Amino acid sequence: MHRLVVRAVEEFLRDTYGANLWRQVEISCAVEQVAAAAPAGRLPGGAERMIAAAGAILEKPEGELYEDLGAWLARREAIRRLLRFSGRDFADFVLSLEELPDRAHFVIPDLEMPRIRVEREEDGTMRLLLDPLAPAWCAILGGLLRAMADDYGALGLVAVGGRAVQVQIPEASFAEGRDFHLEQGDVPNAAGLR
Amino acid sequence: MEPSGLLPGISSGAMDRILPMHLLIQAGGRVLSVGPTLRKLVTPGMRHVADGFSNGRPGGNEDLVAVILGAASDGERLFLRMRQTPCLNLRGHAVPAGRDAVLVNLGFGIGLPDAVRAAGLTDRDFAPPELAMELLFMREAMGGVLGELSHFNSQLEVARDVAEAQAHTDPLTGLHNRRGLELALSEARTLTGLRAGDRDGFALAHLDLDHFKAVNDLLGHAEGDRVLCHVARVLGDVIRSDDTAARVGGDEFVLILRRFEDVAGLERLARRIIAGIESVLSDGADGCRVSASVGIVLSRNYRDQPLERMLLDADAALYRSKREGRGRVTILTAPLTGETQGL
Repeated sequence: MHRLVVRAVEEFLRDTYGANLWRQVEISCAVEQVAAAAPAGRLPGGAERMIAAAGAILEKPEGELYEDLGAWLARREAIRRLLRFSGRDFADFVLSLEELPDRAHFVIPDLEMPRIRVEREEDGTMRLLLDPLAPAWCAILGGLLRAMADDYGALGLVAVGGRAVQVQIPEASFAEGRDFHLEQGDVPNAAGLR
Repeated sequence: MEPSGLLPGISSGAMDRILPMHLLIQAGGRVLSVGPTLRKLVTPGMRHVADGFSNGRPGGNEDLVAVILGAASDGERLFLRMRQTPCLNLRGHAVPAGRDAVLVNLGFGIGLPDAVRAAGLTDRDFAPPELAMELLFMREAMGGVLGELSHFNSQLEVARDVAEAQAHTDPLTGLHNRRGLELALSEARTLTGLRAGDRDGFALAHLDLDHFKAVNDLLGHAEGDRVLCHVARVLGDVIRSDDTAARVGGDEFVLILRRFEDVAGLERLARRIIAGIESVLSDGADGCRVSASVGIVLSRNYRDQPLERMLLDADAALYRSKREGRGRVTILTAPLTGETQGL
């Protein structure tokens, strides 16, 4: 399990449900770790274990938590910007998701993100299929797509099934989207030159 | 100068140099010219553009020539997937060239490393203004730096995990220590508190060895340690995987038994533990014998009370066992009140 993923899940849980919930998740995971008793033992299942623990405590289905995690990720400014590099508008973004695993692996070679295949039906409905099947990634993608539809100002209908994510875009410009410029605002470059 | 046919004034050699990834096709789809870099990735002698490429955008028009002509007239981006190497989805744009032809220029996008691998491309295959070399450099440099960092991080992580496990473990017996017990207890309590059903209740057993001091005094500390390890083994044998056994003091032990609140069953379990412990010094030649006293409380009786109260009552139950003659089990079926506490 990549440390970045574990960190993201930790931040998400703490940010969304507060330090108290996070403390309980930690206790639950620590107990499991101590019970595993292997000296070199890591958290069993890492991020998955944290989500499972949080789901048990909050009495919330894990799928929903993964969707919330996806939406939360897409709302981090740094990640939102990286995602916006992938498409001019929301439809372009969805079609370009095929490139997302390559882009992600470019930066984090050992991320183990599944490949995404995009299919488009005649009525314009797009279907994202993950290979290998990964329900958690599917749910994360679903939440991420909902947040990105808002970001682009599109009306996007996103449905997460067990094996695929389905996207319909009844209106491409439904509301005002958020700004995106290739160059990051108000951050001087390393040399201090503008 | 060899004319490129459809582009007056530019030879095909010049076209190859300036646009090594170009594709010049007739409006019907017949291929007139393929740039040298692209040539390394398509079947030699490709006649029709659809022999080498398919539409790279899902679900769009299947007629590739129409897609290219469309892109040439509306200026939109074009995606061409390579039939020979389907993982390569080239991106580019197209412009009308001459009367009856379209000039397409393509790039590898994020698939660049795959293309380099598939066709064994080198520095010479990319036009100088392209950022291909920079991208490859960045990838390798970042990979190296990130690899180092993540190696370093995983070493730290392992070290931290070991330290954490040690911090919760009693070094002599390998059981949990008091800190480990506290963690396990809060978790057991959290799960019980959140789900109302009796299913998630637990029993807390406090155990103290009888006559242990005599072992240390008469047989020495090494023998005392051996007895403690024996007790740990006895406890380890009777608990299930999600139960917890902890050594919390010199000869004091605590068990958390999940989903176990059956009084008769607990009584049997405790007797089994006591018998197991008593078997350690069977000869009794030195006048030493070890036994244990046990006090047990049930979480269902402490739903609205703090954990400390449960621990105090387990302790009180244990001392009731001691007072009643040692080697005994006391199970409280209700919290102790002010009057009953002293019993």
